[in-house]
Amino acid sequence: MFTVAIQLAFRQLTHRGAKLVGALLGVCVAIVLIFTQVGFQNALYDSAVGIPNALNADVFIAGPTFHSWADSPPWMPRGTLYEAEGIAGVASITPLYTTAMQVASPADGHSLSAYLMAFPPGQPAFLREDINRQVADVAMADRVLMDGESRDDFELIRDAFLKNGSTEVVVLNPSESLQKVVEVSGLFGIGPSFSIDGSVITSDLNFYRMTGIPLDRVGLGLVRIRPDADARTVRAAIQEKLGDRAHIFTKPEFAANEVRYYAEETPIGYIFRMGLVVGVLVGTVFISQALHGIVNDNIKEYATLRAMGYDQSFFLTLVTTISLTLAVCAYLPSTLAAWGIYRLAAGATKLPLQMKLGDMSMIFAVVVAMGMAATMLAIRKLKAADPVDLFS
Amino acid sequence: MTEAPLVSARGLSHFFGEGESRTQVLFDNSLDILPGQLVIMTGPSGSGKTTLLTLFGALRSAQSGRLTVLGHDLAGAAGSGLTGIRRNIGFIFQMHNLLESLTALENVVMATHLTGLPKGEAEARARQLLERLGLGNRLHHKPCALSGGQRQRVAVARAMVNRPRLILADEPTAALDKASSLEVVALLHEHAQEQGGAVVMVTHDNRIIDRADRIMAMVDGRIGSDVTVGEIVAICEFLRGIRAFAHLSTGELTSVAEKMRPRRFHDGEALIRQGEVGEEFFLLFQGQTDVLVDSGGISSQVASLEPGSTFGERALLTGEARNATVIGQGEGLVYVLGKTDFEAALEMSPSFKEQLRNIYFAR
Repeated sequence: MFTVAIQLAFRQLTHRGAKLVGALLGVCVAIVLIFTQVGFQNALYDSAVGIPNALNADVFIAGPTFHSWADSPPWMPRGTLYEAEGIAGVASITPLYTTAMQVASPADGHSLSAYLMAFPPGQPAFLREDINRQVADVAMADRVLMDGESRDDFELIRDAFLKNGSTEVVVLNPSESLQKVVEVSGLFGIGPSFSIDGSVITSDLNFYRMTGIPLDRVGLGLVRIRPDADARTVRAAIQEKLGDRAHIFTKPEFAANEVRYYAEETPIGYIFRMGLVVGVLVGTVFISQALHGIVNDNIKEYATLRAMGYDQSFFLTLVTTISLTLAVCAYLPSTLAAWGIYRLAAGATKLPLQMKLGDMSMIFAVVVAMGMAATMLAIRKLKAADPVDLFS
Repeated sequence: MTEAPLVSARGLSHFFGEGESRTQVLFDNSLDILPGQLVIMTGPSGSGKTTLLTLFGALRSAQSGRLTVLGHDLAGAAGSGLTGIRRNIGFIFQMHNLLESLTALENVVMATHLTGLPKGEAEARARQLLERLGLGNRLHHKPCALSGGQRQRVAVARAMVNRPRLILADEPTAALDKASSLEVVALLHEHAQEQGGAVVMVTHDNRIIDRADRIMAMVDGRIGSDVTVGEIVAICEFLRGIRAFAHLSTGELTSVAEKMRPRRFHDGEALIRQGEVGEEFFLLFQGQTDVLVDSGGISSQVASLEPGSTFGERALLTGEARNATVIGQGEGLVYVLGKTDFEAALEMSPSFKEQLRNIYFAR
């Protein structure tokens, strides 16, 4: 009976070709919507932890009022880091200086927002080879590295660098006399985030020259631990030593804090989460509507089968097959369409929009669940298939 | 030995709605449908015939009274119990209700999946039935490629393929031309005869009504008349052979015959007794009876009646007590007309009344 129900489901699905295409298109739209929401949400989270993940640190020391990296780390005294250096398990601590800055667009001089990070050239702060091999360059006065993956506004600077091997940019300051001209001596490729359009890296001394911020005001302390040490143990020891004068994170905790911040404390995180929920609901409604249409078209046939003695398990199998077939058949083209959308959006935003196997599996599971939910709704409709109504 | 009825109803009533809106649509109906019968149910819209049909088809739960279908008591049955019973019943609907995505052959085979019939045998049966119904060249056509009549014939084949002992049909010939209608009814009749089954058909199609073994007319939720056609014909032939009825029209004879109810008698059973008040008129249909007259305390047989004889009418006409006793000789069957119906028949046919009065008052 199971086989008969499945065969009939396929026959009923393919019998009305145009309606099947319409139903599949509807479900595809819903799945693409879910993929888009998941992709954007991932881009939000992945870009948010792009720089923290690139930092060469096992443990992070942040100021007492630190909230998130995206919220600009508040400064703390450099002496705090010195206090932590003697703790067991700590191999070294690098101060990382951070601030927002404005540079002039080479096109018309309008200001471009950038994020400036700096560290002592003798204590490389990043894990990336494309940064570390250029650290010696930025040790020289007024030289910086720029993120070549920065948003389109920075393209002119990047293009000029690629063309000439170096280029100059103006670091804007409200007081024109304090504006600095620095040389971009190299590129790296971390990419922007939702709050950072472009990143610039330089040495601690250049940081001071460009911003005038004293170097005893540190944004983050990047702690490297000894090979035999445990990051959580070191983190606890530092926290105990510094008390409420600092927030200490292991690297995974720091990244998780960034994701949590975006997910729970920013409007965009809420919007993407809500978008995902709406996508799932819309998907369920679309599949339900498609299924409802098919059930409605065949309601007299189901009533006839019920009169003949087919029982509820037969109809459950039939409708589940139709529903899951719609969902699964719509999944593949939707994935391809979403991949195209990711490519387009990634190109336009420079955000890390990627088709991940984990997300594909998760969305497939969601689509199957939507199909099952639609089946449950359709079963109610099926109860209207009363064979008594077939009699005149 | 009389075969057990395929459908048996006793005091069957049915209601729609709840509370104040509860409406009774069937009233205390009793009937038996015997194997081999093709029963046609007629009646105006709202008379309850479709409700009765759906009750026979285990599509509703019987609410009040007793209903047995194919040996299953439907009183209080519901859900899977009813579904199981329906697997042994064939259904034919007015709108055929074929599965649009399947071919004619597949539609018929679809009914066999519930019976566990091997695939090859199921297809062979379906093919044979469709060919018999003139659809041999339409086996692989979907319903949209068939005419209305062809679709209905596929539906008929679908109802018959499992060889059910009970087929319920709702206006099965409404979409058919006369030739197709007669062919379908002949096939159903043949099925009933060969399978020892019964076909109950709701129809208003006058073209096929003469093919019925039995005609039930529903009126306001009650079985208004229930006529076994073959017996009515035989009764009419008997009545026509009697001098008093010889000049009645066919309609008048049929009207009288339809009101007569069968009653079996046993050897030695007194059908009427001398001195009793007359309440019924009798037609001896099968068997023999003796007529005894008691005079001065001595009972003597004055006559022996053969099939086709009538008795009991004098007391009804004259109002006098019975003037003789009639006793069955062996097993037999009489048809009985009640006093009220007898008098109604007299009123309906003054000539009939006049003739009877002339006969009896002339004696």
